[in-house]
Amino acid sequence: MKPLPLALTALLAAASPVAAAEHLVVLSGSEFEPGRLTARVGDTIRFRNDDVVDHTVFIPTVGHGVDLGVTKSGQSTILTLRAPGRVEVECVQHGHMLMVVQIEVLP
Amino acid sequence: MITGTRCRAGLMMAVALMAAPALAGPDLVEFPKDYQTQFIVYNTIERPDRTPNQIRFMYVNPAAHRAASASRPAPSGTVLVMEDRAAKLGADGQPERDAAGRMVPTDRVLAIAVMEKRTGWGAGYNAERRNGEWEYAGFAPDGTRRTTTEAQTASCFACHQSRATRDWTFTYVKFLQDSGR
Repeated sequence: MKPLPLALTALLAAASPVAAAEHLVVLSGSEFEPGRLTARVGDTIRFRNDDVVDHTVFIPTVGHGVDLGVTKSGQSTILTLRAPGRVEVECVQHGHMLMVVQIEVLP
Repeated sequence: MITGTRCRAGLMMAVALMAAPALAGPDLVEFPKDYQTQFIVYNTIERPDRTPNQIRFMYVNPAAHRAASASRPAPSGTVLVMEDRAAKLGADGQPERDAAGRMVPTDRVLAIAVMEKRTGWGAGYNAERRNGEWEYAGFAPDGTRRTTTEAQTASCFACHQSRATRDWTFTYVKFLQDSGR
């Protein structure tokens, strides 16, 4: 089989959809780790609760508002990023917990 | 022996107590029956964890909103309504989403919770429970009271305690902050 010309390979690569990524955020010591994250529309964030207490992933940012409910100790919950913007993630039970997600559109 | 005077005094006191307004409790909060047409929707919060999937519509009364600022507590007379509506489902059983990726609501209201602030309302609670001057009540979609005792709103007070620095609100003061007011 003949190899594809380099230009055609590049064109196909450019046209291929970029696979959505899953980002891991650990809830530990009643903190989000990492506290800042840049992701793309279509990506997901897995929030894994490594603490011994329950947490609740909650986004009050207008246009992105969501409450994922209680994530018990040892469990995970997944958030799909559906729109671009700067989003603040909080925990319902622990008012000091905060992380920021910058959601970008694919170029 | 109870004299006639003492008996009359006791009866008058009992009548006065029965007629006195409650110092605290969900009965203080009236159902804002015109909220869907008169109030302002300032945010929506999706609840994909719930069955059925729900969208929370967050309302504020216009008079309070005009006077509100993130730099000071919400004014006395502020009424915030949290209305849970069922999400519209597609043929696959999953929530339908609009062009912005948000769940599409139906008109089916599942539950209504109201928090209202009036000067002096918090005085009936101890410091551990008190949420400033806020009081809470739950209602069915037709306006029927779902909370009639202080015990039934204990979870409201406990949960909102984590947002004492935002005037005990999860979304309203945050909205004011984010919108630069």
